Amino acid sequence: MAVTSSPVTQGVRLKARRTGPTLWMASPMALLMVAGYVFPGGLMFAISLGYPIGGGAAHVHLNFDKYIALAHQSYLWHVLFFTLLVSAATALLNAVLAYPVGLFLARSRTRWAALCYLITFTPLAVGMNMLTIGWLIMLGRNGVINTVLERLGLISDPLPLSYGLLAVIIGLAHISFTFMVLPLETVIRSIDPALERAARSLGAPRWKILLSITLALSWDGIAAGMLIVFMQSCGAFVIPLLLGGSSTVMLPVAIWEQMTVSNDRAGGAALSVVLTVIALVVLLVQLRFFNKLRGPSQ
Amino acid sequence: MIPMRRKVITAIAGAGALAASRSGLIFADDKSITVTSLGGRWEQSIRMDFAPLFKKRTGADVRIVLGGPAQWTSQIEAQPQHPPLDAVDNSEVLAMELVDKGLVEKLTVARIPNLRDIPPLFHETWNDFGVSYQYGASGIWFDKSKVTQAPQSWPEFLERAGKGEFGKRIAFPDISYGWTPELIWHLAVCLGGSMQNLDPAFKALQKIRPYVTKFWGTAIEAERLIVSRDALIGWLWDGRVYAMMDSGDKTLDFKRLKPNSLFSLVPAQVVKGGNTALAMEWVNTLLDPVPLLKYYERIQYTPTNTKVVLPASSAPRIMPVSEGVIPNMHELTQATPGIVARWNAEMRD
Repeated sequence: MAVTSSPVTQGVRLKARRTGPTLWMASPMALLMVAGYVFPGGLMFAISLGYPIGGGAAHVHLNFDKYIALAHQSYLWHVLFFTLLVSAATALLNAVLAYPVGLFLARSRTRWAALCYLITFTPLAVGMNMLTIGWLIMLGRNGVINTVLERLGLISDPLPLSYGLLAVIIGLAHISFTFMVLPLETVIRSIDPALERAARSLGAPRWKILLSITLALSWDGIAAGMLIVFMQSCGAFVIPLLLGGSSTVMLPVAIWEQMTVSNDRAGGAALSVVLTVIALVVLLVQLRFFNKLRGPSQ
Repeated sequence: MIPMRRKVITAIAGAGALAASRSGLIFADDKSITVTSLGGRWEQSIRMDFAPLFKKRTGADVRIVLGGPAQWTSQIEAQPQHPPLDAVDNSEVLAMELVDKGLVEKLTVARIPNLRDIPPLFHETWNDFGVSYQYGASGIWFDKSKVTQAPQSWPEFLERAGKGEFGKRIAFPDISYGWTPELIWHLAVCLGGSMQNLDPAFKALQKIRPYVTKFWGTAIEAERLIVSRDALIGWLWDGRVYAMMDSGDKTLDFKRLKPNSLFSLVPAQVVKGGNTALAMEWVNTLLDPVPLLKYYERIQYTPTNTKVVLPASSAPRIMPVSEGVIPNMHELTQATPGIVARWNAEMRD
C-alpha cells in the first residue's frame, strides 16, 4: 500500500533531520549529566526517603518522615531563609558592582578592555580555596585592611571584618563575579549603539540615556546573571564555612553537619534534595522569563 | 499512584546500589591491599613509614585512598559484598557504626600479634573490632607572649574565658567539627555533668561564646587561626600544636589541663569481604614499634604500642594513658543528634 506524506509530516521529518546531528553531538554531555547528576540525584532522593545505602530494597518502606522531621525544626527554617537571603543579597551586590564592568567591556574599544577581561576572570582562575584564603588574609584581625587602617590612624582597634556575614557576602560576590559580568556584557553588546547615539543627538543627557535605554534594555542580562549568582551562592560550602561564623550557617554547611556529625545520611540527603529543588526552581524561572540570551530572534 | 511512584523510586535506588556494587573504582586482589589515609603528613607517613615494611613482609603493594572517615564508611556501607577498601582508618564514632552493622572483622592477637602490646582501652572501646595505633590528647594552645598565666584546669579555662579575660580572641570547635560532641561530653564531665546531663558544658559554652572569634569547623582552620593570631588561645589536639611549635612558632605553647584530656583516636579496622589476611597484616604493621616511632617523629601523635621507645626529650609532651578519657561510643552516638540540636538552638542564632 502506497503511503503519501502530507506537507505537515514532511515538515516534521525535515525538522527531525536538522535536529538529528545536533542531538548526537549533544549526547555525550547528556550522558555525562545523566551519570553525574540525574542518577546520583535519584539515589540521593531515594536515600532521603529511607532507602538504605547498602541495598536491601525488598523490605524497605519508603516514606517522607525525614522531610516532615526537618520541617518541624525551626533552626533549619532559619538556615534556609538565611541561605536565600544571603544569596539574594550577594546577587544584588554583584549586579551593582558588575554592571559598570559589563558596560565597559561591551562598549570600550581601548586596550584597557583586555585587562578588564583578565580581572573579571581572575576568580575562576584563582579558584574557590585560594580566593577564600586570600580574603581571610585581607579581612583578618592582623590582615591587610586592618593593618592599613591602623597605620593611617583611622582605627585604634582592629575591625571585626572576618568570620561574619560581611565576609561571607564579600567572598560569595567575588567568586561569582564572572558569572554576573558575562551575561551582562553579552546583553549590553546586543543593544544597538545607534539607539544611544540617536537619543544623544536629540539632546538626552548621559544619565537619562543610561537609565532609559541601556539599563532598560539590559534587564534580561541583569536577571540572568543574578539568578546564576543566586544559585551558586545557595550551594556555596567553603566560603560560609571558612569566612563565616556560628551565626552564618548556610544550607550546604547544615547538610555537611547532618551527614558527618549527626551521622544522619537520610536527613542530609533530604536537605540536599531541598537545595536541589531551590536550584531547579530558579533555573525554571530563568528559562521561563529571562531566556533571551539565545539571540535577538528569540 | 503512590505505590507506582514508590516502585519507580525503589527501582532507581536498586539500580543505583547494583551499579555501585559493581562499579567500584578499586577492588582488592591478592597482590595488593587498599587502605585509607588522611592527606598531608598522614599520607606521607603511610607511604614512607608503614607501606615499605608491609611490602617487605608480604610482597604486596599498598594502594591508598585519600579522603575522610565519612567518605570511607559510606563506601563500605554502599558495597558490603564487594568493599572497595580492605582496611580503614576510621573516626571513633563511625568505627562503631561499622561494628554495629557487622561490616568489620574482629581483631585477635592470633591474627595481629602486635595487639598484645596495646593497652586494652585502645581496642576494647570498639569491642576489639578496631584498634587505635596512635592517640592525641586535647588541651589548649596559647600565645605565651600574651597569655602569661595559662589556665591549669578545664573549669578554670572556661571560667576565665567566660569572663572575657582573653578578650574576643578564643578559637573553639564548632559543631560542624566531628569531635565536638565528645568534647562537649568531656567538658560536661569535667564540670560535674555526664552524658545524660550536658547542662554544665552548654552553660559554660554560652558564657564563652561572646569571646570566641571563630567557631572553627576543621582542624586546618584551627591551625590557620593560630598562624594568623586571629585568636590567642583555643582548644586543639596536642600533635598538631607540637608540630607547629617545632616548625618555628616561638611564642606558641600547649598545655593539657586537669583533671584529664580527651583522647583523639584513629581506630584501624579490617573490612569484611575484603582481602582479610593482608588487611590483618596491614593493621599489624600499623601497630609495629619501628614504623610507629617514625610516625611519631613525623606527626607527633603518641603511638599506643608500649614497646615504642620514644626519645627522652619527648617525655614532657607525652600524656600518660591514665590521664586520657574517651566516652562510651554507643552512648555518644545516641546522644549526638540531641547535642547537635541543642548546639543549634543555644549556640547559634
